[in-house]
Amino acid sequence: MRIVRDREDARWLPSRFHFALFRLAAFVRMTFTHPQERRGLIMAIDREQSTIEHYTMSIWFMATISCLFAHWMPLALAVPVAIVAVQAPIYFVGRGKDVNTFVLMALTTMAAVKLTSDQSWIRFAAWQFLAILALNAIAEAVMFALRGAVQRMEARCGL
Amino acid sequence: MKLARRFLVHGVFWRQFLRWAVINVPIWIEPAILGFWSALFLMWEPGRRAVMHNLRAIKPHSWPLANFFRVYRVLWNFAWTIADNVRHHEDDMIPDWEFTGIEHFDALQSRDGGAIILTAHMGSYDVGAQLFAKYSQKKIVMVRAPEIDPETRKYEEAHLNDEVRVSFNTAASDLAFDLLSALQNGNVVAIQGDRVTPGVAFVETTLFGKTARVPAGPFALAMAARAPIFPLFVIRLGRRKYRLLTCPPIEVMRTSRDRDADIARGVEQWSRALESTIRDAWHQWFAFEPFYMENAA
Repeated sequence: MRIVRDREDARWLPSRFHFALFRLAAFVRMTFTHPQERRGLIMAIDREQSTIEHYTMSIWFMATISCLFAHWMPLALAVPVAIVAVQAPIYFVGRGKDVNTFVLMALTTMAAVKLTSDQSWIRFAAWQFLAILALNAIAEAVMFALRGAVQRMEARCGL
Repeated sequence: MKLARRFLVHGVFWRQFLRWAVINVPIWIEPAILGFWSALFLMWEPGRRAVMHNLRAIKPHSWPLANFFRVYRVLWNFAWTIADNVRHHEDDMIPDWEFTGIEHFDALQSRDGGAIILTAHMGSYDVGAQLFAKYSQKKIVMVRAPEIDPETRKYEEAHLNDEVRVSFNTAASDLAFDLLSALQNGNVVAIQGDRVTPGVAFVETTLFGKTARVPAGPFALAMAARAPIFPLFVIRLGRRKYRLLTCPPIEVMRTSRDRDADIARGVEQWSRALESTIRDAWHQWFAFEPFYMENAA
C-alpha cells in the first residue's frame, strides 16, 4: 500500500478514486489545488479511499434501484424492498467484490434497458442510469489519455 | 442449543458473516448495506438499553427519543469500525490518519524504555495498534479481554494479526509478569482502560458524575515498571479516516507509603482524559454494557 505523508492536497489524487467520472473530477480539482503541507497526516493511495465517491455511488445506486422497483410497487415500499433486494445477488453469487459488482451492474442495466420504454416517470430513472454508465465509459477513455499527467501529480506528492 | 448460540450477538456466526461480507460486498455499495445492518442491530435490546443508559449520564438533559437515534449512530460507527478491522486484516487496507497531540506520540515512540498505552473501546483500536506496529521501531503487546463465546474466542485467536502480539487477560497473575517483562525490554503494552471484566482487579472512579470502575492493573504495572501511561484514543472521523489522539503521559510514581493514593492520582488523570474524549466522541464509545452501577439492569 502506497502512502503520502503530511500532504493535505493528496486527498485529490485521482488514484484515490475508483470510478472514472470521479477520477476525472479529482484530476480537475487536483490541477487547481496548491500543495498544502500539514504535519501528522497519513494518506493511503487506494482507489477505494474516497468517502464522497462511495457515499454518492451508494445513494445514487440505491435511489436508481428504488425507482426501478417502483415499476412494480409504490415508491414508499420500493425503497426498503430495494435495500434488501440489492443484497440478494451478493449472497447468491458470493464470488468476490469484482464478480458481485459485475452482476449487480449487469442486472441493473438489463432492468434499465427494459424500463426505458415504460410510459411513466420511471423511464427517466432508467435513462439516467444508462447515461451515467455511458459518461463513465467516456471518462475512462479520457483518464487513459491523461495517465501521464496523473503520474506527474503523484510524483509531486512524493510517490 | 450449541447451534443457537452461534447466532447470538456474541456468537461466532456474526464474525464469520462479517468476514464473508468484507470479501464479497462491492465497496461502493457498502454504506447502504452497513446502514441496513446497523438498523437491524437496533433490535439487540441489551446493547441498545446499555448505550441509552450510558448516554443518560454523558448527555444528562437528553431526551430518550434523541438517545434512541444516538444509539443508531453508535451502531453505525461500530459497524464501520469492525468492517475496517476485518478489511485491514483481509485486504491490507490502511485508512487515512491524522494525529492530535503528535508531540506526545513522538515522545512515546522515541522513549528508550517501555511505555503503556491506555485506551478505550473507541474507534478502531485494533487497526491503530497494527498501524503502530508497522510504522514504529517498538514492539507492541496488546492486552484484550477474551471473547465470551468459546467458538468466537477460537475464531478470533485464529485470525489474529502477526504484527501485534495479543495477550488475553484470562489469568491476571501470569499476565502481569509477562507484561512487566515486556515493559522492561522497552516494548509498548496497550491496554483498554474503560471496562472491567469479571475477575479483574478494579479501582473506583468518577465518570460523568457517576461511580464507575476502571481496571487497576495498568496503574499497578506502570508503578512497578516505572513506565509512563500514555492515554491514546483512536477516533473514527469518517469513512476510512481516523484520528490518533495522544494525551500527555501519566506518571504513576510511588511518592508515599500509601500505594493506593498514588494509584488513585493516576486513575483520576486517566478518568479526566477518558471523560473529555468520550464527551466529544460519545458516538464511538462502544460500551454495550452500563458503565455505572446506579439503575443498571
